Amino acid sequence: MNRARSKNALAAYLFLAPALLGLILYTFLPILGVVGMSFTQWDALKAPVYIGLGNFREIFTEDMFFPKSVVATLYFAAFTVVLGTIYAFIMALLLNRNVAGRGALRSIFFLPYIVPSIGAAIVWAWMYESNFGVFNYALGLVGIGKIRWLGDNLTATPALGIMTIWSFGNFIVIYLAGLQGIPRTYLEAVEIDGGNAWHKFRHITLPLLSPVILFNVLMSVVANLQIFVPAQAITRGGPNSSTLYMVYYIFRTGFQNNRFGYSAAISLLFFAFIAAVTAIIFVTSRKWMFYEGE
Amino acid sequence: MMKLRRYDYLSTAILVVLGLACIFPFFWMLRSSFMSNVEIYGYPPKLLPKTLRFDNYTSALTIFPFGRYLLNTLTITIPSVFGILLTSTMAAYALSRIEFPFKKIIFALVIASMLMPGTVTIIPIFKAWVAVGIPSGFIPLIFPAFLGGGAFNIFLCRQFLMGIPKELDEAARIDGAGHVRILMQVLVPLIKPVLISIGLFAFILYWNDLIGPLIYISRNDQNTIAQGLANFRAGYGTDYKAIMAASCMSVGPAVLMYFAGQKYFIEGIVLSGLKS
Amino acid sequence: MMATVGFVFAAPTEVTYMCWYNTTQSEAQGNQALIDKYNASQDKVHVTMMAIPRDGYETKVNTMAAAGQLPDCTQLSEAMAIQFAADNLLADVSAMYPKDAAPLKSLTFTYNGKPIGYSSGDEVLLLYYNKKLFDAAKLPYPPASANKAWTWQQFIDAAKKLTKDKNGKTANDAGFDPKNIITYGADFNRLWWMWPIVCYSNGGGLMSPDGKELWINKPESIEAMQKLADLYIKEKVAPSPADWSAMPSLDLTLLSNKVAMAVSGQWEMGVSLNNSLKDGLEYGVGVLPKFKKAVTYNTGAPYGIFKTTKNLAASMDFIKWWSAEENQWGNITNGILMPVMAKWYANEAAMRQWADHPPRPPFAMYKTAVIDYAMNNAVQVPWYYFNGYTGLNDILDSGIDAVWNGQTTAKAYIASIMPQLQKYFDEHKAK
Repeated sequence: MNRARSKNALAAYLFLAPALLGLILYTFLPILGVVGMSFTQWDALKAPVYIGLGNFREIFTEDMFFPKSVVATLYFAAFTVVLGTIYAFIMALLLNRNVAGRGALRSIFFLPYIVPSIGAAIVWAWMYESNFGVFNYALGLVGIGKIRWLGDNLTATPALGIMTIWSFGNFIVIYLAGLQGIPRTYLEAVEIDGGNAWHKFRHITLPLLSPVILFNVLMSVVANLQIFVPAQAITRGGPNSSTLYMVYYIFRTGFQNNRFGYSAAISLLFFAFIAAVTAIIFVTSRKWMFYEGE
Repeated sequence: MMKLRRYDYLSTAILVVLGLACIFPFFWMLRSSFMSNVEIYGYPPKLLPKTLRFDNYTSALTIFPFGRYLLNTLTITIPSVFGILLTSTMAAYALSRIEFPFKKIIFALVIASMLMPGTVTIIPIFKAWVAVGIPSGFIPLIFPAFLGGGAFNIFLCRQFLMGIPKELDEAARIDGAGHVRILMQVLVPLIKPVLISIGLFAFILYWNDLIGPLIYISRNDQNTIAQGLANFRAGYGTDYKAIMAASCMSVGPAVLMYFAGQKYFIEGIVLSGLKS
Repeated sequence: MMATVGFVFAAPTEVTYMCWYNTTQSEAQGNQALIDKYNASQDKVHVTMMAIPRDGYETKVNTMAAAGQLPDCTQLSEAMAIQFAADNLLADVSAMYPKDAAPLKSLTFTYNGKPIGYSSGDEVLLLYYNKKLFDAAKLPYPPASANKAWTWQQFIDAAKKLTKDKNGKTANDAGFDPKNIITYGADFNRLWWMWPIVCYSNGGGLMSPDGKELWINKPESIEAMQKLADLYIKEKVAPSPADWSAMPSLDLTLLSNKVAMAVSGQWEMGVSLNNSLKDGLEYGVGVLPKFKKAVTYNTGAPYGIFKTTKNLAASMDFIKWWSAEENQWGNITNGILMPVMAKWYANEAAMRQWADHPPRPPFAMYKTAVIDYAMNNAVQVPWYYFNGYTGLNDILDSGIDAVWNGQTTAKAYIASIMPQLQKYFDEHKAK
């Protein structure tokens, strides 16, 4: 008996070996690495120098980009996740109806998800262009003046946010599947009780889908806090650091300014922040979560 | 009944309008790729090009070697997808079919790592590759795929395996099969849908990745499609006819792949998001 | 016999050379053709070219440095030249030029008083303009010699007459619609390293020419910076920074009448303007408008050989060949570069040899507007003598869009970043 068990255990560990190695090399050791590096000044080709809390002191007292980056990243994530979730959910509700060509429509809304973000960024940047872009042309046709989309620090993040929401085809499909999974009997029960569409939504649909929504909102928040490509490929953090999203800032500090120790310090703070946000979402979710069977 | 039908028309109408809006960027990219720069910069912008300038593509190809980039991207993507499928299935099998000490802890660690944002560790991982002596090239990009392929894929695989009755394992074991044969010959065929979906999404992820190549690929002739496109835009920032042609070439494969494997994409997305 | 056998079996040394390209493929192709010529001319050294977009060049080099994978030799970005020398990354190339035939002093990069590199070509900032627009408005062309340079006000006056909105009104007319401008009278380049020239023109500058004192906070500098911003904010003759950054290359901008006057470097003649001559572009070249003195910037990227190279002799051989003007003659006559040796400016015959060619404008105009201007009125961009220009500029640039967009004044902005700027400057200035 024992021999079989230990043979099994050995087999299990062998099967798990790559994944365990991955955990060590790509999750746990790097986190230690970030912590360690954040206490050093490690520039370009020189050897690392221990400087204690020097990087953190600089981040919080002298760095003029860090606060702007925090604000920009939060703004982007909040804008994209809130509006994007609403958008995806509404689309799913509409697609759930008896519409003609649902398959084709679903494909159309899903397609932007698989497009390489650099390709999307290029064409959207061109459409957003203040003088030659088609968006401002369309606005002009209805009498609204030009908006300096990517050139104004108030509109730059919303502009990139809209582009990102455009690619949320995956969430539409997920929510649609979720909606389709709601048993008809529940909805019919509301009808029998004299309820209308709003009642159905509030008492059946929303509670039943709350785990799905929570999970996807969480994934979306974590993903969108880490937005990189539009900042790197189009705005380079501008205008006026309004799109200096954190991952781009980390990348720039490390690979452009060659300050690897400092970049690690920023990464550490960023990691702590994402962990905190994740925890908050989880904890507050208990208030409005609903599991089937309760 | 009448009321219901009205809603349907309304929904359809709204969806069609929004659908057109959704498709518009693709159309704009395609249309611009066939125009001259003077036409592209023309104001008011025209809907369609006067003539289809296919030479935009041929001239873009002289600066944007799409064939080479395609090869590079495939060189990275295909082994990586294979690595992900292999190692995540292996890990999922162990976590779902075998009892062994510390199983719960390991599983908890795997789940925990699912929430780790990948971008916070790019710096130490880069420095590690430099220290090991392989600071650039394809290896740093392919290697991680063979290390479990990401906690999420392991999780998904495991969920699916849990739905398969263990009696099948027993039957195979009685026939003398070891773990490998059980996994490969009995279980894998049964979870093919999930594996195809995982594979497709891994493919798209690697295909579109930009930050990885930016960090690890320095030789121009090793650039991936995404990287080549980003470089192209950086260098020829205002030569839009060429950039749009290059973009269309880069986006094309992804779109084609989608239409070829639509069913698996949709299923895969549903699996990943519903977590049921 | 043995020597011959040895020679036959010796493979050429492989050398990698990194350079950038701006906006057209002709640049990279021209360079490749030249390299092919070098490779074919001898069999001891074989050069492979790595062409990188200009935008992001510094990042690329930094990443390669961090990965320990620098090329053998490179076209150095001016901003990084001294930094590399200070970090001890550059091999000593001073032996490349004999003492009496060194390039112009204005093209010398110095670190701690010693030369560490020379520009590969001379470049100055010039005022380009669309002749047809001036003819249509019946206005005299901008002056082509420094002693006749326009004052800033004259510049604005001309620009206003050339700025048109979509209804055909100029900036001077009642009912002018600044939200719908289709032709901008003037754009004075607000690119990060170009714009401080206006400060020098007003008696201030970014820093003192010996690199020991910050001048950007002098009232003269701030005044000039604000007047530059006002071209867009008040006078409405220039595009907003965002609109400008999306504009196509200079030749298309002038050709399509988007801008009547624009400031850029001499290289535009060979890099972009030449491309639109066949489409009917008629451009002229003039000197920059002045505040108090007529000045322009001069610059030019140096070549560098990295110390990490395993092929120092081969790289030196290549760079010496590559920087020799006889070999770069094509790039000089096609308008991209101006020569670096004094002998090419010594007399008119010498000048005509390289300057009297299209796509450059007629020699009479070119001589006064460009050659004399470069010889007599140019000041060096501070990266010739300040170590860490990019870091300084990161601070200077961090919120500068607010000034260009009119959200804050130049005075307030400079005051807000001055402590940081001063600290960085003091840490990096020449001792």
